[in-house]
Amino acid sequence: MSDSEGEFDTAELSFEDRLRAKQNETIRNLNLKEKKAAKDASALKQQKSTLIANKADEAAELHKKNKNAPKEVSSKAYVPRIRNVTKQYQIKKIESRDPRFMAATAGKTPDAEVDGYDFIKDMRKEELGEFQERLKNKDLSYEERAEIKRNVSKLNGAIHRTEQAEMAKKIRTEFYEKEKKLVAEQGKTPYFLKDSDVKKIMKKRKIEELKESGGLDKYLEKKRKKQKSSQTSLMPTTRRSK
Amino acid sequence: MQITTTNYNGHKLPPTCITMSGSSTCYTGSKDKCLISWDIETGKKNRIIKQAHSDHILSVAVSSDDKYLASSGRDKMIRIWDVRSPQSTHIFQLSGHFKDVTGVAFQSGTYQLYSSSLDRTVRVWDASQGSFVDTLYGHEGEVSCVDCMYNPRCLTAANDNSLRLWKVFEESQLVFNLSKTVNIDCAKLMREGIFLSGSQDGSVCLWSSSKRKPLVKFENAHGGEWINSVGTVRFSDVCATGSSDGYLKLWRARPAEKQLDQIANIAVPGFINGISMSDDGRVMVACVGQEHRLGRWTRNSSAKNGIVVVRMQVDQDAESEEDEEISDNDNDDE
Repeated sequence: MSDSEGEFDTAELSFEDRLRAKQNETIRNLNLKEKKAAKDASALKQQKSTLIANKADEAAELHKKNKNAPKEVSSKAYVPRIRNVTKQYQIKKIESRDPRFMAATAGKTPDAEVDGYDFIKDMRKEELGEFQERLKNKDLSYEERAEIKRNVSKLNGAIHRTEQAEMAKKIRTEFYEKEKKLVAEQGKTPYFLKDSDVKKIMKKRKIEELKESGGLDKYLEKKRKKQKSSQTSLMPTTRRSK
Repeated sequence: MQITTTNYNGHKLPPTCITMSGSSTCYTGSKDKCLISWDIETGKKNRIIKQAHSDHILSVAVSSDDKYLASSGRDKMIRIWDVRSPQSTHIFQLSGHFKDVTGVAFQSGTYQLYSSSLDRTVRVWDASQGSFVDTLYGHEGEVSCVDCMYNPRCLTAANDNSLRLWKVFEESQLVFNLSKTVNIDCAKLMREGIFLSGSQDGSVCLWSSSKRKPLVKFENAHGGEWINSVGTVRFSDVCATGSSDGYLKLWRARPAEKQLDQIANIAVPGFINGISMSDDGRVMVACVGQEHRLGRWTRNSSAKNGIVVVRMQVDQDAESEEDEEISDNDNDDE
């Protein structure tokens, strides 16, 4: 029996008490062992982390030291007689940047939504005007008319897209302004908008607009009709055979 | 601080280089191919070696124990002279450079000699044996000067906007660049990691061997004129620059505070082609000529070819001032 069992005389204790004590002891020993293992593990971890930290520190220090240090070069390399003029006169080499092949602009089309391309909106309006003028001509063939109409619908689609994109941008900036204020003043954890959130806000705004202009009923009626037709198309046409 | 200057005339053509041996003698070389050894106290010429080289002499250096004198010139040769002997006998002729040898410097405490040349190389020689040791490549332009102190590290400056500190035994070099395209005509070591350079755009730069850009760049130090020569007091913070604007300027360099301040302006008419300062900082000699040491772009006929001995007397009363001149310090009362 270990010393740590207690000050009592074991003969006085009941069987249950003795059993409990033994269990406690094993648990305690287990705990001690576990604790020691945990301690060792944490010590190793700490050691490792300090090592890493030191290494990182060292690397950072070295980098800092070497950032402004002069270049150390071999003195055995023969220097050719013909000098590199750009190096001598510090002429910058012109590096061409083609946005078609750059990672920074991947997936982005320079459209009216991107800064600096606002002129596209005006161009589209002008084109629309031109197409409308052409449509007024009565001597157009069927194919010509169809093509012009196709172009018109394309332009309208593009205009609609840019309008939606601009609205979404506006919604985001307004929301984040408010969020920044709240975060700064009240310490609110910042919430970042999802695309679906933006859509919801857009829908809400549209409904408000329609309410003011008075076309809300018509809009809702149209929506209901469309939904009905789409639902009816999903319904089975034939009766389930009995 | 009292400054007294005395001029001593000599040399038929402008002298191009000067080096001081102790505090009493100095040697000058000139375009007239003569080497003259002067007594600084009296201004007397101890010895004149005529036809020391077959073309202009561009540089002289004396070993730290005042035994050997090395001279180099446009004849691509380096000549070693024994100046302890009464005739200043010519001992060795070191050939190897392909073009004019623009600079020679002894490593203090040894007989190792470094030479820089217009063929863009720096060569290492043993003056006591007259033998060639090593070639150091790296400069991309004509090397204009070389300087060395006690360590086997020599400093050179060239026409490729760079100064290089050569670690001879490690076979490597530290490259220091000036951001402008400019020919650096003179450079001298102040301490083992601090050096000063003067370039053809008129700017004087103070460098540290741990930074690739200059600590201080003092532009138009001599009114835009080319800086012809630079002199330093070893292990001190006093240095001097000479140009053709008629002034020899004394500076105090404080690399820790990144400052280079002018402390004196000494009127010396002509082209100051070389400056040498004594180790105790009390005497400075400069060789003055009517033309630039490297060419004849202009000629100042009112100047006299010769040397100028500048004695800098520190007032005995002001004790702290005396310390200022000799030691490198942090606190000063100016």
